Amino acid sequence: MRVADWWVRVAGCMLALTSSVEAQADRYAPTVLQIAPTPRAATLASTTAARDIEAIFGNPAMVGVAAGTVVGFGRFDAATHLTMASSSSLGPFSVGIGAQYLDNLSQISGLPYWSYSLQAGGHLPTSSAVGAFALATTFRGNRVGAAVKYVEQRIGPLQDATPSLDLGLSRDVTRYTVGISVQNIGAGIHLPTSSAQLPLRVSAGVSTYGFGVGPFDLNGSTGASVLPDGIVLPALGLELGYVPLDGYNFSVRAGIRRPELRAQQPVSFGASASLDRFSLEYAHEDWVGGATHRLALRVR
Amino acid sequence: MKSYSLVAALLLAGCVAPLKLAKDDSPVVLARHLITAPDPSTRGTHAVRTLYYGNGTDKHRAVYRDSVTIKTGTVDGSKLADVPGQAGRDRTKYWGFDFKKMPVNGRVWYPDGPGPFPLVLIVHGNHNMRDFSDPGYGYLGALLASRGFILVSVDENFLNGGIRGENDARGWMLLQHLRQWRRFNDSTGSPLQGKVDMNRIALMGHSRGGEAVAVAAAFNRLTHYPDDATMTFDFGFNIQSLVAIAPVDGQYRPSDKPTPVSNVNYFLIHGSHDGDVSTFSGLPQYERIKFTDGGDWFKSVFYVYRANHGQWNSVWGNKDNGPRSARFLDLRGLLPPEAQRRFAEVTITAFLEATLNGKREYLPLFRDHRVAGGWLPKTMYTTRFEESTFRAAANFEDDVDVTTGSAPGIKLAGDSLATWKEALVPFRTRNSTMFHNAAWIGWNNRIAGDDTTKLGRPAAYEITLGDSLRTAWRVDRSSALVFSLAATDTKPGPRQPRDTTRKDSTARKATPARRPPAPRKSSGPDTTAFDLSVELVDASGASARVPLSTYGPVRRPMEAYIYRRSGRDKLRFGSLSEIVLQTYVIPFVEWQRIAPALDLDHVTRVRLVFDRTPAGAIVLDNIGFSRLSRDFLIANGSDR
Repeated sequence: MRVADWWVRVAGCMLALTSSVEAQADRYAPTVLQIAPTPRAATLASTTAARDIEAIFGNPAMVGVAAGTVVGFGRFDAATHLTMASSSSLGPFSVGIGAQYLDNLSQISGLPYWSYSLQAGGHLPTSSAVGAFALATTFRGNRVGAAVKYVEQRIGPLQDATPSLDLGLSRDVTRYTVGISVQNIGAGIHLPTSSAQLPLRVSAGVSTYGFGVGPFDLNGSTGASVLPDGIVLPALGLELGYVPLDGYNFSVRAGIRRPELRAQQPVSFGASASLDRFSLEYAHEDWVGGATHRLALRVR
Repeated sequence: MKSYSLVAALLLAGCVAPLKLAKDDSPVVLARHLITAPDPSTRGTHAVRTLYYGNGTDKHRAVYRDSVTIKTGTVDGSKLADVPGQAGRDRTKYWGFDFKKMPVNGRVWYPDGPGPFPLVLIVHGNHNMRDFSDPGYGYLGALLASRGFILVSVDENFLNGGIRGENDARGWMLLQHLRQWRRFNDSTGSPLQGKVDMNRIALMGHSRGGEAVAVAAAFNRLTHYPDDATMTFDFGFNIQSLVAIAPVDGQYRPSDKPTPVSNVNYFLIHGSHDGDVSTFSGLPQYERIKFTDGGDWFKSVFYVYRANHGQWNSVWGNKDNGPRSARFLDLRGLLPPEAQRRFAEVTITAFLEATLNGKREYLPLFRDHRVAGGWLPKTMYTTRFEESTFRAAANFEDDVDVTTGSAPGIKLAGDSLATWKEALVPFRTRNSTMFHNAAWIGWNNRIAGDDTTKLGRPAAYEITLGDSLRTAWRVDRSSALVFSLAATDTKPGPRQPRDTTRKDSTARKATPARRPPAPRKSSGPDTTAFDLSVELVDASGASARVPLSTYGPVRRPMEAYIYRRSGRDKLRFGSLSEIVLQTYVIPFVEWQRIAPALDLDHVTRVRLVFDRTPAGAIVLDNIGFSRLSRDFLIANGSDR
């Protein structure tokens, strides 16, 4: 129960912090790297130390801690987001692959992308995509990993693509997992009329799993990212699971964070239902001018 | 929304298996109470005192820090236990010591009186090391101390948690405790001075502790640690009895061999619904207990239907795989914890009274548990028994010739059997065996054809005893026939009619025989009564038969569903039931009641005649003869 109290306190601090800070300016590209890849990632808010199949998008060191495949679909009022990630073991290594695609509209033919357009739409067909491959292994009790990514941004007829690199480190400390990562090391997106940096991000996080609270399991994840302009983005997510019978799991989740995009709102929530290796997940994210509904199927 | 919730609830309910328990025959099997000894689970006359001993520096338990009456040192067990890496460092940080400085901590219940009293050590098994296991045997401590035993619950919590291959350390620690007890008993001024009878010692262990007691008994007679002979032993305690409660076996193998134990009384109990050690792992150790020194020893097994792993310890409780295990373990069919612990009180106390205090009036309980229907909780028990005068005519271990027994002069034969082989006995867990052979015998007396009522001559399995062996073993009217047997689910197909047109063996070869129908497993459990006859034949050919069911319960396999989720047991286990053989002890005089002219001093053959169940199959093992003490029988011989 002391742990639950601790999480409640952290949540309170997060609420105070996020409510007192304005949303950030939209200044990086591509957009797909600035939105959560899956419903679980959206509601846990911080994925730097999360044990997820889609860890390739959060911290490559965590790749393979959860093995399986996840496919996700997100619907904004004027955009569609698709995700796929898979991870498995290969000898002493864990291997992950992943891809995301955001199909949206833009009101201006240049960068940075104005995030309100995800809900409000625009006149220019726009898309951004990322493909990633990650390798992780354990060295002296530490998990280390790296992911190489190929990212692309299109706005109308304009297009640019660039490789980028993520590096990560994580470690289990008693019942916690701590992780740090550096994401989106790369040259940036350069269109003929404008350009934008990749959202270079240094993150640290901690997660924990399976604390008993009465008949429920409490999981949590918290952390913070620092952007190149010095902006700190704290985040916290909690998950309350209930297993009525071996193999069945019902969870509710809620997350709070300081938004990375101007149109994002701090709060998200969701739920999932699992039967043996299969999970169906849903998340709801508030955005200025609308909401995002996300679905994912996870096969462990 | 309500309808969705209802559908979800129904779907979930459909995945929970309905409670399935084997039909309880205890109202019949335990209907009588013939044993005249006092109930061993009633408290004795001694006032009970308690104390703690240890090194007095424990970080987490006040009783081993502030309440220690006798101070002990630490022992270096680092050659026997090891947890490398960070996990080891975490353990050291938690406990404040490593395996080089293991404390000798114990909580003691002892009788108020001058003594000397027999000494009984009990040790827990593996569990969450932070959820201390040693207080969980207080129910036995209070009872045994009131009856004149000193009970010590040994603290080995520092060997718990994520650790493997450490059961040698667990056993060795027990001997270190005995070493301390020798000091307590001999030291002037010790509160236990002169109170301990070091010639009457029993070791009891639960789970991994159950294996540890066998390891301790083996180490007790060795001069060197088998896996590192630079470590010398000097114990030599007079350990009379061992009790193994739901033990594991083979997690430690001295010199990579099964732990050998001999010349000690051994009592083994295990629950059918054990959610942790779900296979009856102690049976191989039971088989390995040998009586070689001519002493007065016995060993016994109780397999307790509906008992689990944890309820033998009041700390562990009913969730055999941790606090969340009710999610997957079906707890509905378990014996109430009080009933399970009452069983432990009755049988363990009776065993210790019989083997340490010489109260032989408790011995019949271990030969045939039906004599104690008034003491035992109402559930089903399968029991094994062997005492030191037993001579095995056939234990099916020796060779590949199914017609020879375990001693020269023994011949085995089958008559009209559908199946007959000697093979390993499997555990219910897939791809594992008891490392022990038995005879697998099947029959179907029905003759194949349209007339389904036509029966042939009853099939039989026969053991012939040579004259010289009968003399050497002194098989006579004082002897008893002893064997262990279990029915299986298999039912062979009907017998093929004999072809009366055949005149000789050549003709038989010329016509290919029709293959008999394959044995089949029934789709559901066969609930019809199962029985057979046991026939004794003397040198003159005179014979008599008695029904087996008179001498013990004869049951079809008892299915035990451990998991809540429908289908999980079938997925996890190779079989829904464990093959646990029931031992039957039939004194020769039983046949003379039916046939007074039978010459019991010249018995030549024993036949199992399958005349009471038309078709079936059994596993048969350890058939032989015993000249067991009359103390194992109820005095008036009316224990049938």
